[in-house]
Amino acid sequence: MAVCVAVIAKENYPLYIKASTADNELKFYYTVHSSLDVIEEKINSAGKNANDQRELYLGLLYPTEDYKVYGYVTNTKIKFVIVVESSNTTLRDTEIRSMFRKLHQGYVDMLCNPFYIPGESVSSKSFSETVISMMQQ
Amino acid sequence: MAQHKQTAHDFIQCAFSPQVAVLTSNDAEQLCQKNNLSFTQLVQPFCRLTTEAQIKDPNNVLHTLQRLRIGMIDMNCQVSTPLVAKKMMNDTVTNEQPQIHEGSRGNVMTVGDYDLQLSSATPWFEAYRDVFLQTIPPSEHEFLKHCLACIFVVSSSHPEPLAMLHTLSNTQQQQQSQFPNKLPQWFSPNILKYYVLVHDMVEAEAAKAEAVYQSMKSSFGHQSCHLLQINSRSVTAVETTDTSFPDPWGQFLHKTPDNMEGVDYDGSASSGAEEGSFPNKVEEGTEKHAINDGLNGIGNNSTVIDHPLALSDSLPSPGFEDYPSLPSKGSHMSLSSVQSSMTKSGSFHSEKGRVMGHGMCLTASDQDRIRIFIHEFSVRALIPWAERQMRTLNELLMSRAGFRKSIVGTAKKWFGGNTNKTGQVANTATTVVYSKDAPELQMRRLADLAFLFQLYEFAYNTYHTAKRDFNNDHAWLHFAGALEMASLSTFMQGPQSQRVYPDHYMESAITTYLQSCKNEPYAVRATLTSTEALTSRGKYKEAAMQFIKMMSEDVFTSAVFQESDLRAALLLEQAAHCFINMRPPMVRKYAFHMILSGHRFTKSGQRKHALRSYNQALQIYKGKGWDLAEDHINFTVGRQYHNLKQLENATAAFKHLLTVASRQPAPQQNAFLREYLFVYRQLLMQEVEETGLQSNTLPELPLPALDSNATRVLTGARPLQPHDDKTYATGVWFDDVEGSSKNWEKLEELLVMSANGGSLPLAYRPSNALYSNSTDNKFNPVGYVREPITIEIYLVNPLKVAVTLTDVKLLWSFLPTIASHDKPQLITNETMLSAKNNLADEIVQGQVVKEIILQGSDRLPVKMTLVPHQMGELRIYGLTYNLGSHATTFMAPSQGPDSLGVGVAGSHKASYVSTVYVRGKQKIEVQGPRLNGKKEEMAGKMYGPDRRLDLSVHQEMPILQVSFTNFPKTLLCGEVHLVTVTFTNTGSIPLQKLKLASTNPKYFVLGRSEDLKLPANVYSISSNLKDNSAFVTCDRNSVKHVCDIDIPNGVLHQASSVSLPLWIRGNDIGGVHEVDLLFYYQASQQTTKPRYRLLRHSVQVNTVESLSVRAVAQRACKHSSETEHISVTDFVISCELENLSQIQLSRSHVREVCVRQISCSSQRWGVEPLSRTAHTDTKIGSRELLQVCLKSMVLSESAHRPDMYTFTDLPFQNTRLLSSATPCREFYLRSRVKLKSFDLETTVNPPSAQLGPPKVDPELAFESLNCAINLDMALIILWEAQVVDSAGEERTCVGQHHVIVEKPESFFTSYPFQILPKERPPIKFTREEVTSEVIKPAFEVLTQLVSYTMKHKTRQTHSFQQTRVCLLGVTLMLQNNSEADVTVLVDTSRAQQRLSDIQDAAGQALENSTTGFSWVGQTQRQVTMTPKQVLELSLSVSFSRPGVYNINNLAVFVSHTNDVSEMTLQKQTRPSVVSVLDKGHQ
Repeated sequence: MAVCVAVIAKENYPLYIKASTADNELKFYYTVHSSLDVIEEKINSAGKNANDQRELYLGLLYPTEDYKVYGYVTNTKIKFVIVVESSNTTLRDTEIRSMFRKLHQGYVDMLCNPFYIPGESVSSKSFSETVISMMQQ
Repeated sequence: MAQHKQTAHDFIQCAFSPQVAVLTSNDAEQLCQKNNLSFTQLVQPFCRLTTEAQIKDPNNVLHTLQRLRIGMIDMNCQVSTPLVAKKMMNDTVTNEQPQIHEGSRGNVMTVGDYDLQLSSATPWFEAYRDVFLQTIPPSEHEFLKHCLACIFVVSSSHPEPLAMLHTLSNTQQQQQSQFPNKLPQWFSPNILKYYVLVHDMVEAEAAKAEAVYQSMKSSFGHQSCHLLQINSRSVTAVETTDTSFPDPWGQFLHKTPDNMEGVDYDGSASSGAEEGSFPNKVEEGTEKHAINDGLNGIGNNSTVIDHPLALSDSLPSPGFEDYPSLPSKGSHMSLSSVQSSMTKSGSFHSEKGRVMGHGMCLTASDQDRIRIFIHEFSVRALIPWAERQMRTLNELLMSRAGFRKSIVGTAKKWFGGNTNKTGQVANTATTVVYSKDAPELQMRRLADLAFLFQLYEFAYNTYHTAKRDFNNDHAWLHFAGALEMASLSTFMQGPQSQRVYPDHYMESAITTYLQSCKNEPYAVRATLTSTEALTSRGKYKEAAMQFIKMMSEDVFTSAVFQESDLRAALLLEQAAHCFINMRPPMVRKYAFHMILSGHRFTKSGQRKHALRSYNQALQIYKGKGWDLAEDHINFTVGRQYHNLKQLENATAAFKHLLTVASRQPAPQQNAFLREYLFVYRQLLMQEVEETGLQSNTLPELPLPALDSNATRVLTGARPLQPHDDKTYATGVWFDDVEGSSKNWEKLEELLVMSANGGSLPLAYRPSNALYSNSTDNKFNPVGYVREPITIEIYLVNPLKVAVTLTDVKLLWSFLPTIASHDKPQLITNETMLSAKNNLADEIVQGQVVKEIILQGSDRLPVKMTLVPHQMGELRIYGLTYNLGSHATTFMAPSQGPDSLGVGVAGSHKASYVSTVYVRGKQKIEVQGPRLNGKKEEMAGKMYGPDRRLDLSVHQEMPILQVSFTNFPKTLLCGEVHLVTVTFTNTGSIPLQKLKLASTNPKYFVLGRSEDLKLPANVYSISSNLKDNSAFVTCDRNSVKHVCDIDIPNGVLHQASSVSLPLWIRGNDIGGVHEVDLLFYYQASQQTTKPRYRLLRHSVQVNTVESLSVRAVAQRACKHSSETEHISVTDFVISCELENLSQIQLSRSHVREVCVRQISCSSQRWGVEPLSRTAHTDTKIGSRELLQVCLKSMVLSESAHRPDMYTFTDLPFQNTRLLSSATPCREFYLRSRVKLKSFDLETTVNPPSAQLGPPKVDPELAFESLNCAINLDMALIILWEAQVVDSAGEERTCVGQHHVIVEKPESFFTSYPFQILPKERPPIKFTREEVTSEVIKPAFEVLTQLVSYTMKHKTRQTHSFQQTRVCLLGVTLMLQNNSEADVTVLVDTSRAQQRLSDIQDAAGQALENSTTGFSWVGQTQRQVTMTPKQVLELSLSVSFSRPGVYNINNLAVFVSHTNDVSEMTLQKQTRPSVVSVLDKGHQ
């Protein structure tokens, strides 16, 4: 399913990045980092028409030759980015949305841990499991 | 897209300007060469019309031409082949470097969190663009680059100028007709011919020129001739005058690349395969070879990090291999020929040298003449010609239009009507070939001409029409060209045009160029113009998309060519600039594309540009947590710097990779490390080469990390390890428990107090030997000359790979204290020079650790010692070592820190010698504790000073060494063991005032040296059984925590030693006990501070349970008939001795315990056996119990002195152990003394206790009363045990137990009760009312203040028949047990409840049952008794009938005060029985 899942802090530094394979991790670093521009663009444009009721799901950020990058922003400006392979045609918008919902839920659960200091990189095992399950489906 | 010098309008106009060919005769050329210019070059700066010109379009509408620019090309100029063009482009880009390097330009852009330093100008791109447009190969589908005219130039000095002009004209004619494919191409068959006569104002005659000019006019027409007068200044004049006017030619001339910079872009950057193909480049120098070799050496690792975006198929190997081999043979030739052709004046140029400028012989009026010439040419000849051409072409087309439409239109309808006409038909190459004068091409020609002469509206219409035709004909190339130009025409009309800029035209043009025509250069050209147009309209996003699209198309179509890499790099960079120019700026996309661009630059060999791109991108990635990306950039940047020989920057970049605990996998980190080491070493070598000598200060290394604050400093030598049966004082070492330091401080305080006469000196502060993070480091640690100082440093390896440190040394600086006046010089060992190092070694001798292998993510303590040899201030500030990577093939086990100093085995040597290493240092910086005292300290983060690394070295001191012989590890509880302790002074100064302090002195007895001469028995033995008591003075106060140690003469000299016996006794409680001993000594000469030294010893003794003794003393119950003397004070003592040990196989255990003797020590009491039979069998097996009963007796009064004790021995065997002799007595004494515990809880007084009134210890307050029940008798049980140790061997131990019987009637044991720690009450924050408690003596005491017995007949015969009542006299003996005056009330009445409600149950019962007797006489009698007084009271009792009576039912009340109401009933349970017999019955 997903080949890369990333959680990015409000200040645009990575909290968590997991790639399905280690060898192209660097590539995803670049991809995810570049997608932040699109996310910011989308947030800014969305902020004008609807003030409060913002759709968290940002949709397809941009397609590259091999990958599609999707974005999601929580109300606290935590960004989720999921990269899927372009060749994977079974994934539709609804599936991506549900993936993001799951990721968000996992993140919230992780955040509820009183020992986690918000803003630190995520090392939670259960959150990792959530992410890995999203990659293995 | 970056900001360019030219506006988009200018750029397009320049790119598509009317081209004019120039053909010069040799003499004319020579004339021009005086100025170091060819004719074309000469006129080039003036080719733009400064005035407006007028032109009529075919419809006779007048248009204004603005700033028309004419492109002049030399007809002889050879066409650049793709290879040459590529090289030209490469050169151009290389030469255009950013003028000012980063930092100086204040072009800072703040985007969100990012502060970016951007250079918005990209001159290299513009230069590239110009060259690209110049070298683009002509195509048949357009006429923009075709020459409209040809200018023939001869000089007036030519002998026959007219003939020459004819020849030239013929040459041109010939070329156009015979070699139509040869460049330059011509616009139409009848081009404009223009004849120019160049006249040298100085050398040639003006008249002749004028004559020739006249004849030219007559033969060619006056409008197509011009006389150009130049060179008004002679060559000689040039040399004398200084030409300072601006050089307008400079910007147009091709710069010749410097040889120096040629290195920068050789092909070896991206792949090794290319390297071989340009052998001429590698010849640059041997140094480069070395670098390349070096790179190859580490090349295996260099492939580890590859660009993630590198397409694996981007270099199809066979094609790639073939490509360079093709030109390589001819490359020399072609390159050189190109060079000369490019700059026609090349030879001339180089002959005269570079000093020569351009246009020296031209005065300002000459330049004006050239300007006039161009104007004349354009306005008089070219524009009218163009008007004519357009008109004819237009007429031609108009006439054919109708015809074409009918024929072609229907033909299409019939034959090809079904074909798709969208223009997007793929894969169909142009099959349509138009003839040269086909109407479609004429149309295009017309349009081009109109475009060139700025008739954009007309051009657009024409292009539009042509486009439709081409589309219908499926002539895709032509179609694309028309589309491109149509959109450009619209753009060029500017804002006044009604039409919207049709960017979709451009889009489809590019697509068509690329996909249908495979004509990449034109696609690129279209992209370049289109993006320029787009950006000028602010459409940055679309422009970026076009750049990226072009770039990505590139990859597939022409990946083979290096050129495409360069182009891709430039395009990507422009795309990146587009992103940053967007609103809002897309910073990250900018960064990403800069990286892509940098990668492409690398591949194309443009190292400087690559470096610049990566550095730009790094600004965005830096410090934002995108570690992998940051590492990648840093790595690439480092390598680029390395390639450019900027080793310092390279090192800095690589350093970044190592300092951050990166998330890279281990092999990657290994590569980083190696690369860093390699580059760094090169840098150092280079520095050595440059400066000739090594720098004095060592460079700082990033690895390994030092945990500076964990550094610990220990002064003094390492304690000796035990050997044989000797153990040495443990001293202080790093593994000491930190928390125990409080105990030591307390002991030290006691010692200093005792040495100082009971008070602490004013400036006293506890000394310390081990300085760590948790100690108070406000003061400098003190070291002594010739004594080692050991530093423990924690090395932390943040990487996952092992690193090797070799030749590790501490760095220090030393300021000697010399008595002389001149200022002492600071000495340090941070130097490379061996001579200086040797000198430093003499002052402070430092240990060198040969090798430390620090495994991945390891934390290793390293201990190193320094031995100062002079007094002074020693500051340890760093660590120096050789840093090397660890050879992965040889995995040596990490050595323990202890074995490090010993030296390295031979096998280890190989591991570090072979690898690359650099020498450097790291500083140790310790931070003091955070201050929290003042307000600003609390608010800010302020740290106190930490001086643990700044030692002051003092003069020599004596060094005490203490050794113990036969120190046991395990003892039985109560066992007494003899140990010899030896004190040796190993220092060179005599020592004195040896003292010892201990936390628990109960279990140690230190003898005198004479005692050692006695036989090694623990106890002294005497065979005299008769005299079994000894009267000894024992000062209880002598037992203290501190004791002095007697040494002969009071001084222990150098290397002399004293041995003393030391008895130790096992603790009464089984388990592990720790005892701390602190030895104190001073130097014999009075020295300055510090005066004394200390030596610590800490022992752990394990005690095993052996014997437990329970004893109870009961008042002797003597029958009055047996002895006449009735004592109220005798006691019977019954002891229970239990062997608690268990027999355990194969472990040491006690087999049996044999009680040797019971001794009593008391001031008042002695013991006697209860029976006279000798006890012989006193062996107690495991878990057996032995009961012994003894009798106590009062000693004679004379012995009663407060510090005198009598020891009475009761041996069970035929030898007597002297219990009053040394160890036994001392241990007994120690057991009696209650010393203040060292527990921290007790030393810290709770503050509440100090607030209240001073508490009186109830025990002390009523001492006089308490002694009533105070027995104060101690039993010493001396035993002998057979112990079987784990080896099965038996040995005999002796020991002693003490039971102190304090009170009668209660049990006492040999082992102290373990006081369970009381649970603390919850802390209350409210103030508690201090209730002043009236202290009362214990109830137990009050009831036993007075003991009494009744003395009477036990048998009374009375004849009840005679008298009804039998009277019996009873003497009540009262004894005051206490030391106070008491008031006694004897009440014989039955109403005991009257005074006290305490009922004696037994007495009452007796009374109830026996009513047969009653006391007669006075019922209450009150007496006062003095201390210890024995008083007799006569009472009488009457019996009414015979029987057995217990007459003890009277009550004795005692008060220790005069208050009668506080009287207490005395406890007396013993019956006093009287048998009354009736005489009559007998």
